[in-house]
Amino acid sequence: MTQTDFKSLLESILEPAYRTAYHLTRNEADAEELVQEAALLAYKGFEGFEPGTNFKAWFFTIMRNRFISTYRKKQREVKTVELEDAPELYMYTKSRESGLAAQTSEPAKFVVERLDAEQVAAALSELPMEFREAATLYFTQDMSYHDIAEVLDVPVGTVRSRLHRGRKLLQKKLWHLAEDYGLVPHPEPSP
Amino acid sequence: MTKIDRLTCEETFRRLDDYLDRELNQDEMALVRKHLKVCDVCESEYVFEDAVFTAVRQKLQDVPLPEGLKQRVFDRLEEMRRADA
Repeated sequence: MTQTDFKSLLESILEPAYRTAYHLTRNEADAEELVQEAALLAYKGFEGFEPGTNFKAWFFTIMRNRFISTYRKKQREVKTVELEDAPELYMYTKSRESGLAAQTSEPAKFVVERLDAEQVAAALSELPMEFREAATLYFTQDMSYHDIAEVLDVPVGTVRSRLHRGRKLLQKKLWHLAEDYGLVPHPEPSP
Repeated sequence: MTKIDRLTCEETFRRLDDYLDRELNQDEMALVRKHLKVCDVCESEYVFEDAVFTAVRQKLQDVPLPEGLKQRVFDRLEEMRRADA
């Protein structure tokens, strides 16, 4: 494959790559640098790309590895062991307990749409890194479990489990944010 | 082996994430769909989860490519190509 082929493939995934880079680094300048560095590394290693396979997953693997080796060290790591788990159906249950489900026909939409994109992104970034990486690829790219597994270099079952736990924790964080901003009824204080 | 023709609420719930993400095989997708049609509780959980994640996805996907980034990437590739030549 030629340099022109590389440029054409790269151009087709540049916007999604930047989107994921932005959510990983949480910073426009770092996101741009991460995409540029990944592009240079991909160009150098383009001989290793097998034509006909998934260029996007191949490129995202390079970008994710670069993120780990460079930017991740800068960020405060949330240790999995420190983090509590979240119950299943957290927002569903809370929206019923708080009375929100009785006030609106679409409580889920009601809560998330009233949070701004930055607040949702911040909640995602507070997840432990292993959940955050999987959830970032899932929410920003609509990638299949198979493709996420390829990017993260883990089995599909691991992706399934990380996404399940990550989504539960994300729901808990989003609900707490909504409470903090007065978007949903606060629980009654215990007598 | 007898083929399963219906799921309990618990079995449906265990498959809910995969169903949302279209990660089940065709038979399992059909079994979950069949259960959701006859179970209001599971159906309302499914609708809620789907709505949360669709709304989150919409919030997180709204990140435009910075102006000029494509050209800056291509310029750096060209610089590297020249340096290597």
